[in-house]
Amino acid sequence: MTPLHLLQVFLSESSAIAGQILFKHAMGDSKRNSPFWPSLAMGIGCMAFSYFVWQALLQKFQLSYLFPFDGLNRVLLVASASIFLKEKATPRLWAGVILISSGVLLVSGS
Amino acid sequence: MATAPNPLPSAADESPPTRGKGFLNPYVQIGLSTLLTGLSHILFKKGASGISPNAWFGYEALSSGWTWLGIVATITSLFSWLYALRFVPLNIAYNLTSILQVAVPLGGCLFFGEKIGWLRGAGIGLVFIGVVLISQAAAEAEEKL
Repeated sequence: MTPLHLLQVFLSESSAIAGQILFKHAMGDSKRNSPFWPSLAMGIGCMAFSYFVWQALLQKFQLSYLFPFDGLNRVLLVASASIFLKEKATPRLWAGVILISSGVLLVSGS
Repeated sequence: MATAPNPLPSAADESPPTRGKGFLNPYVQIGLSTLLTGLSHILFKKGASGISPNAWFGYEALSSGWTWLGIVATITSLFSWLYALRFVPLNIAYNLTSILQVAVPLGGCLFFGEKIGWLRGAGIGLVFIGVVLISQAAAEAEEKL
C-alpha cells in the first residue's frame, strides 16, 4: 500500500466519521432535538463521498485486507463524539475501544 | 383544524422520544444495521470488479447490479441506524458494531472452512473482549437514564 492509498483510506474513513457525527446530530438524543434535514443531508453527502473512495480502494485490494482499517477509526470516532457531541467517554469505553483497535491490528497483521 | 403528527424530530418537540420494545428495541436495530452493513461490504466488493485499476473515485461500480444491491442494503441499514441513534450514544452504538470484526472471520471459518491462525485468533479475542467492555459501558449508561 503506497502513501497515496493510505491518503485514500484516511479520506474515506474521516468522511465516514464526519457522516456519523452528522447523523447523530440529526437524530438528537433523548434530551435535546436538532435540525433534522440539513444534518441528515450533509451526513449522507459525507457517507457517499466515503463510499466512492472506498469503492476505488476495493478494486485494488482484497476486502479482508481493507476491512481492518474500518475498525481502526473507532478511536477517532470516540474522540470526535466527545468533542462535537459532548458524549461522555468512560474509562471502560476507552478500554474497550483500545482493545478493539489492538485486535483489529493483530487481525490485519495475520 | 387538526394537523397530522410530524414523525421527524424538530425543535418544537420537548418530550423525549418513546423507546420501542422487541424488534424496535434500539439494540436490536443496531444488530440489524450491523448485519446489513456486513452484507453490503460483500456486495460492494463484488460490484467493484468493473472499476479501472487506477481510479481514485469508484463511480464505475454503479454499472454493476451487485453495487445496487449493496446500496439497497446500505439504505435499509441506514434506517435502522438512524432509529438506534435516537436512543443510544454514538460512541457506544458505533463500537458495538465491532462484533462484525469477530463474526466475519468466524463465519468464514464455519461456512467456508477458512483457517484462523493464532495471531488472527488472538486479534478476534481482543475485539470480542473490547465489545463486551463496551456492552458493559452501555449497560452503565442505561442505568443512569
